[in-house]
Amino acid sequence: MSACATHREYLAAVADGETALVPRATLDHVKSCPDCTREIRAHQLLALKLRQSGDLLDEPAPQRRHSPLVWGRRRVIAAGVAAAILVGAAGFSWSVFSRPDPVLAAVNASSQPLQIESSDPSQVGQWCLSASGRTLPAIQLDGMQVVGARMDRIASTDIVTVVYVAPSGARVVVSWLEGQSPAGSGVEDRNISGHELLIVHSAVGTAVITGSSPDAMWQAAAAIESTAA
Amino acid sequence: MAIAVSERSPAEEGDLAAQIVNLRPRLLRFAWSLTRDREAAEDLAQETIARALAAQWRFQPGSNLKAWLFRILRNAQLNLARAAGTRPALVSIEELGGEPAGLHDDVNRVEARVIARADLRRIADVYRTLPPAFAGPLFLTAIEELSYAEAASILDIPVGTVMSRVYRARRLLIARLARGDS
Repeated sequence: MSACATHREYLAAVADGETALVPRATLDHVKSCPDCTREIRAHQLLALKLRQSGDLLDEPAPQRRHSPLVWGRRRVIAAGVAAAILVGAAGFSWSVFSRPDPVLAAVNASSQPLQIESSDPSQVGQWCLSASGRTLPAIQLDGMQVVGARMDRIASTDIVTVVYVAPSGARVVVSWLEGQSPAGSGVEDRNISGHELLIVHSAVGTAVITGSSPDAMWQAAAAIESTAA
Repeated sequence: MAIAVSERSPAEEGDLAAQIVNLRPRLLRFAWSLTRDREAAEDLAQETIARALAAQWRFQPGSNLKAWLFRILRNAQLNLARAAGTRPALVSIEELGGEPAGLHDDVNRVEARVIARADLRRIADVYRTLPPAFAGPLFLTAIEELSYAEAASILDIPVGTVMSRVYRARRLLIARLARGDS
């Protein structure tokens, strides 16, 4: 029986900040236990998503739903295959402006310098509107501080990139792809040459997320989904 | 004999009444988490609003209106069950018995990433499969963000039981998300 077993039942309470109900020994244990820390993080993320899904709880449970998500995932898988072919052919480079793949273009844009720096979401939103001629689905993301934005045009496709700082201090970059009408919702993670990125298909559009911290990237993905909901 | 007199102005009472009525969707969700029956949930929500409007003077200004209404709803459910000669089927022995083998392993394998990957509709669908004994505490604490103590008071169960059920509810949810159950 592992040392964690006696503490498991308290992990949700720790995740919820109900530490007054948790034995001292458990609090001491979780500080140094990666398994319990991981489970606490899972509880916190699940609680966040449950709150975000509140409105959906009113809808009757469907018998079976698959097509939007499956098609959304198929689209992503297809994009992944296309990206892999591109990567293989080009020997992979982050300078892929000559190639039309919007995901790779978004990744490339994420490492470029900002064209506007501002912590004011409305100012960044105005700039994005004037630069790209379209209103972004979401500028302000829950828990994220806006830093600035840039706009790139790749093969007649506008990619508007907004940079944030997460509460942890990690940098998160969200690139909105123009003309990527979402067929479903969900988040897919991809790894391109060791670089992790997330693709969020939401009701409001498709975004590519990169950043210095996977946790912060997932937090941004959840915030975009929340905006969509 | 003491007579309770409302200290609120008519305008304040009107505001409170409006707030009570506006909380109907949340009452409906809580009622559904307890009953798993749409019709019974609507009856309970309606009964709760009627009782709350009739007893507005009992509400302490500055306290949590939502928690007050949830407590009324839970009492209404118990009273209706008592009148019908039944007890709400809150929990079964199976539900409170041992957890499925390997559940902890599932949770560790799944980690936060799989939860984040699940879209909100999927999470809502899986939540709806939870037994009422688990769904009620989880609804109050995770979705309505009430404290464990408030949830215990509303459900009239010990706070330790709330803690245990919230934990088991979340682990069940995570395991079902990982396994693709619906």
